[in-house]
Amino acid sequence: MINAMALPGHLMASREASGGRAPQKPMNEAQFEAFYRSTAGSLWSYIYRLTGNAAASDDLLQKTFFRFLRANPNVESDEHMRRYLFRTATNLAMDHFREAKRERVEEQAAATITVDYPARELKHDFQRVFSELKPQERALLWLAHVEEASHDEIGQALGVKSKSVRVLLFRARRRLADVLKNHGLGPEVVR
Amino acid sequence: MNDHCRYEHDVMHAARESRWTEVLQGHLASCEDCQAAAAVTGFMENLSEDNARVRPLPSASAVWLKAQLLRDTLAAERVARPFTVFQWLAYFVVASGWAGLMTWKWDVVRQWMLSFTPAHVIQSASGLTAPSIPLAFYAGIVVLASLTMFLALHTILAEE
Ligand SMILES: [Zn+2]
Repeated sequence: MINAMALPGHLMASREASGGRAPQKPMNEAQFEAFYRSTAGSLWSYIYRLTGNAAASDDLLQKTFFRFLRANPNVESDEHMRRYLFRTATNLAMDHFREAKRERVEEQAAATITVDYPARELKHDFQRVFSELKPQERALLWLAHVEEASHDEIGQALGVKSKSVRVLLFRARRRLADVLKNHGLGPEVVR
Repeated sequence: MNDHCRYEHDVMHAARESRWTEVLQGHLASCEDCQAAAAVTGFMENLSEDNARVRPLPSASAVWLKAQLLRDTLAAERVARPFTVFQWLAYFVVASGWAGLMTWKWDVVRQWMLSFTPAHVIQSASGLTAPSIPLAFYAGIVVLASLTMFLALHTILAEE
């Protein structure tokens, strides 16, 4: 399932109704619930693909929304809200790696991730393959291919210039293709 | 202005659906970016469809409630911060008060302490008078003792 970095419908409607003007009211609980329902699933998947740890992903998801609410987001700037979420989640996930490295809980935390696999068999263990990439490479690929984010959006989420995204994304794709080849999984040949 | 290939998204869609137009195929042959994108699109599609979540997400209301509690805690900490500074200042003032009082009437204090030795107890019993202590000294002791008690109680209650 591909989730475009699109705006939640109700927020889009309210924005159109107000003619694009930004009122100063902070988000109320009902608005938050609607926004959470429309974003939490895709955000969790993103964090999980970065960390490879379901419990840590639950934790980081909540922290992301705590920060989001603390920032007192303006309900009308919907694009900004969603970008803010992914940027915050990326920062928190990177902090998570740094912390893990510092505590020496994981070896080579920057390069690999802890993976608590669901108790089920997978034909191909996608996450294990994906975890061979660096965290930034995973973030780039997920945002580009799954969130279908623009280079600007990716740049903002990762805190890099959008002009650099092209090169970084190219390298990440090449790296993944190599990893896939090593696992006998591709890369695919385009007909 | 845009630094990325304008066909990138179309190529990813085509790779996902295995539907290539001649234009896209022609472009793909000459674009390294799009070749790299097309090569991993299938894997990324599989990865995104592999639902890794085995338990439900934290509920929106729980996240909202926790965020409010966290906000209140942070607000309380912000309010408490100047008070902590005031508390340290109070410790300093009381400690300086005690030190000042003891220095001011050190002779009297020393004599008072010595009055507990057996020799002085006998001297007092035989009717020899103790040195006179000014009323201000007693008043100082009462005030500082009250302040010390107040600070100690405040510290204990604040910690609880
Ligand atoms: Zn291209």
